Amino acid sequence: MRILLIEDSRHLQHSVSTALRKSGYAVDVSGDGAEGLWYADSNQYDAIILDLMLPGMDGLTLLRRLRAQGRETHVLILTARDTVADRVRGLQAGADDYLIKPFALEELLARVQALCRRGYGRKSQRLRIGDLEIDLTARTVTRAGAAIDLTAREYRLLEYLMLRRGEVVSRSEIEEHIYSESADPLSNVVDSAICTLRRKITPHGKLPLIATKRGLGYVLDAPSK
Amino acid sequence: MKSIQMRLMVGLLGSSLLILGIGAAVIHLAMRALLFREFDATLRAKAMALAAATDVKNGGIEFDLADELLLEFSRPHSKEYFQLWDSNARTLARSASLGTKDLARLSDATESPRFWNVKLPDGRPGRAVGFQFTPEVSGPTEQSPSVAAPNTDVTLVVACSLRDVTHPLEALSNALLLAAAIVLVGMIIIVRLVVSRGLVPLAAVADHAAHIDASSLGRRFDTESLPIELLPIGRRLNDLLARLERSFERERRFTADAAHELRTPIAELRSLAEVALKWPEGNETTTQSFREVLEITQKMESIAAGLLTLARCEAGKQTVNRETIVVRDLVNEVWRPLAGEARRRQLQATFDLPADARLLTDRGLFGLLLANLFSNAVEYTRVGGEVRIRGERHDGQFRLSVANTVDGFGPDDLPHLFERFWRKDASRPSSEHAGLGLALAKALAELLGMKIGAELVQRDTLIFSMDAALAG
Repeated sequence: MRILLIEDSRHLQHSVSTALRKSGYAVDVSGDGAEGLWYADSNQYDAIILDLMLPGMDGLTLLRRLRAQGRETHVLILTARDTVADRVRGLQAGADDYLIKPFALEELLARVQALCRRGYGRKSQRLRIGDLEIDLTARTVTRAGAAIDLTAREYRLLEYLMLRRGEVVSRSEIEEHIYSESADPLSNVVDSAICTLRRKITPHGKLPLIATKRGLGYVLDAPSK
Repeated sequence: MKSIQMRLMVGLLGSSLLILGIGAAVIHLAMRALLFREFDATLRAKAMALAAATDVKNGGIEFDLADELLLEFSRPHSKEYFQLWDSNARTLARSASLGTKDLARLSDATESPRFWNVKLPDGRPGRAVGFQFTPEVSGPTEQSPSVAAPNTDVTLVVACSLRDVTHPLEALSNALLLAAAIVLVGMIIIVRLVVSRGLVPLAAVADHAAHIDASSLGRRFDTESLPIELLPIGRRLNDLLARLERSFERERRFTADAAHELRTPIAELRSLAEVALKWPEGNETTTQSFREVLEITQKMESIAAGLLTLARCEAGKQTVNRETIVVRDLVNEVWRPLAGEARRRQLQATFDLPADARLLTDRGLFGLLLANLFSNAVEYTRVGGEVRIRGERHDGQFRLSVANTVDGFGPDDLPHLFERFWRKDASRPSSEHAGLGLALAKALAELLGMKIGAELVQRDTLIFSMDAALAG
């Protein structure tokens, strides 16, 4: 899952992006409205966290432009403006959620997670494919009842593949959603990550769930008999 | 007595009652005097007729009266009496109505009649007239030496019941009392009506005042429709309301501004703490976190201090200690801490100030004013731009101006410049600046009796100028 944080307070940039990265998201950060719009326009984000008072371009204008360009990315407005009129204006401009500063980090993370899930049309907290089950809230993965230990990034990769189950997911899509700007697009991080993940979720004697479509990408699906 | 209506009613009714009483008494007295005068005239006429008809005949007294006149006196139960005495107080004659009783004799009677009130023999009040006269002698006088000295004076007293006077007076009193009672009842009704009508504007003012509370301080008394008596009260209340509204508005703005401005730093602190607790890191990261905490709290401190100074200035509670200061020295002193940032932003700063210009002002507050203007200039001037600080003298006035080049600033933004927390978003370089500086500068200038203004020249140069009176 890849998140764009547009916030001009560098303290909040720091703490919110740290919290998101520690929770396994890929995070891009911008402190300027115009730059933020460029980011939002040129990448596939699962959610955008948007401040309203921004240098360069204010948050509402940014949001309206984004929607005018047909971008459907989920947007959470994070602002100190707390009046009902402000919230209504924000939601009418096309925001999906509105959170007022100061906020609880847990709540921000939960809302971001809900927005990401909504992007794939899922509301359930549990996803199942065959005997593989993942709990989106507890972030636990089990196969046939046995717990599987994954790193945050591996978990995000699995979660992304499961949200798009049955679809061919390209390498670049994985890069965009799982890795931050800093990842080197020419490296084979995706291949090696898939390899590790495949090994971890396929205990001895079980069928592999991730299939490689040569030249296209990967598919996670229930094993066909 | 607390009620104006009651007080007015009692006063009005009491005084009209007094006037009515006096009027009735005057009418009664006048009527009484008139009745007595007429009564006395009748009594006198009767007495004169009696005297004229008194003859000394054959040594005795005889009355040569018309029967009907004498008849009045002769009936035993008549209300009219007379008695005649000679100069030795011997009764010469008395009316039949007296029987054997006596009237009081007038011992010092003269020829002119005298009137007085008496108690009649039947015990009722009456009035008497008495005088002395010499009766006519008719017939042979010589042979009548026995009865009286025929040529001596006799005293006549005629008395009559006062019924003819007291009856009409009683009737008059009753009529007056009745009239007074009717008038009084009428007055009570009318006075009540008039007083409560007259007090309607007062009730309206009270009603209006009762509906004013903290949330409706914008309401005013309509002085156009107030009666003259209530006008000063209405005006005073309106002034009071205006002052209250201003100070409420100030308080409201202060709390709203403070709450809004402190939200971001509080959010920063909170998320910083939450991240640090949830994902504890090594020493270096912890130190970095504390450095951030310090920065955020310093920012909060400056917001709080700025807001408080602003609130104190607006409420007129900031004390001013004036002293003579040299403008150039103070400008240099205030600029020094900003010089580093100006260099970093490659600003070209020029100073053009007379060396000896002095102002009589508060050093600390004027310094704070300059610091806010200068830091605003340093922060908002485009990188590599120019800041010009100039001082000019003219007509005993001193004008200090701070000019700097700006981007994305239009004439429409000028009126907002001095509003607190107003930020020209597009030109705002960072969130580190709370947007209080210029509002504070304006409040300080007003407090120090200076005029501050801003103008935009050549589309990209913003000039702040202050006018102050030169010292000495």
